[in-house]
Amino acid sequence: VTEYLKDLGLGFLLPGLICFDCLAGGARSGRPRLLPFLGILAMVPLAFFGACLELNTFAPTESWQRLPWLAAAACLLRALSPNNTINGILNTLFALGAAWLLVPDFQRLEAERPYWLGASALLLLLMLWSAGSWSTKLRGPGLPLLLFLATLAASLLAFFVSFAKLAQLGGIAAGCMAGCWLAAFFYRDQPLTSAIAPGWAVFFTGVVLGARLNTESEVPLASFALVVATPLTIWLTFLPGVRTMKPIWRLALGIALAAVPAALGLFLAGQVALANMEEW
Amino acid sequence: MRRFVGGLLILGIVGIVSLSEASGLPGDGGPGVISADSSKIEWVGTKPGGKHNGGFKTFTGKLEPATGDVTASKITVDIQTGSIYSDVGKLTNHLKSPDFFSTDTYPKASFVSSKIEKAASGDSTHKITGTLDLHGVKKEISFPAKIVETPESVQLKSTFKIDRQDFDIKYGPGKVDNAVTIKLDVNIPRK
Repeated sequence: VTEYLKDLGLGFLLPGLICFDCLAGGARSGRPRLLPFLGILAMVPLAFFGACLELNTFAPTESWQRLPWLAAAACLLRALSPNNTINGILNTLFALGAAWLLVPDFQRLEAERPYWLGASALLLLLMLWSAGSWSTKLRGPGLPLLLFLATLAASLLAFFVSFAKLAQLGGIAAGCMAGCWLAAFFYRDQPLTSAIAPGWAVFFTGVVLGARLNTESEVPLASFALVVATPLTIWLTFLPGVRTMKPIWRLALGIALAAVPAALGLFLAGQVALANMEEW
Repeated sequence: MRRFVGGLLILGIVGIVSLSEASGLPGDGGPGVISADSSKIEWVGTKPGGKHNGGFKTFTGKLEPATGDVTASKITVDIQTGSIYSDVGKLTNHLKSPDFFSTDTYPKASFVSSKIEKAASGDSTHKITGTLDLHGVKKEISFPAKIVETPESVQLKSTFKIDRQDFDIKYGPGKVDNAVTIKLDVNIPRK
């Protein structure tokens, strides 16, 4: 029981509380330039509590352990970018570098590695751009809620492929998104999600990639593709007919749209996992 | 005549030495081969209220020299960590993942003995000390072993425990026990 409470406290509640504090503090300060820097601080729990729970190490020894640092680095780039053009250029360079660092150089993946590098860089860039756009266009608690659900889906996928450390690390990220949701709930008029959106984009993509590349699970590729598609359904809420809906209906539709690929992807993955259910 | 006898003697000695090397007779001082065909490396992992067992399918090694007293020999074993198996399919995949062995990052584990000494205790006859390189961590370990030496082979049996945390395998504290039992049943032909 103590271990489970520790997992819950350090792996979800405390990161959420820190993220909430950072973002709510930024909102209260009345200094918009401060918010992106507080976003970096909100991403630090990923590395810190991950190390506390012995999931990752401060000095990564495996490619997936670089994820928390890359998430914080993405937030730093956003904070340092004076405008969107420079941010776009920096994000492109970052996506290429991050893909190189995240795709492992295992012998097993030797033949596929060039394809994974290309696909990972493109996916990272797409997520960074999408998350950046959403977070400037959508204010309030709707967006962080959708990102929280997408993070949960990625964590569950990691669990289904028998990579519990990555699943727990995803739990910390979900905690951060829950903290962001709470802060955005109280400070609806401020673009709070934009402070941690780049970190979320890198982390979410990295969890799905890590679950696929670091395990020899029989979970089909379609599961991973469907979970990746989960947050991308947010774009559908920008369609002309949907954009003009009442915010609550727009959010409800957003959740319903995101739930379709998430449920399908997790169902496919869960079937493989359930086929061999007995474990530790 | 003396030259002829001397030449014959040298030829005879060379012939005997060559024959001995070709036949691999006991006493040639070469290594004894450890293979998964005649040996087993198994483990038992426990958790509160349960246990699982398994082993490694692919490993090679040698006892060098294979002849003479085993205390003067050195044992080397290389294990392909990806060949791990267990009594549950999903557990095997989980054991290969970065939660446990990270078999892609650390495809090999090895043991190199530094000392084999006689130390009778219970069933065991010897104590083996050496370096276990597992999951990227090298650590000296000692374990008791029952060694039976015959002119044809060396048989080694041992059951001992290692602490997985010593080798940076830390997943699931409290849910999976830290002590892992290792069972060795090694048969080394002396040639």
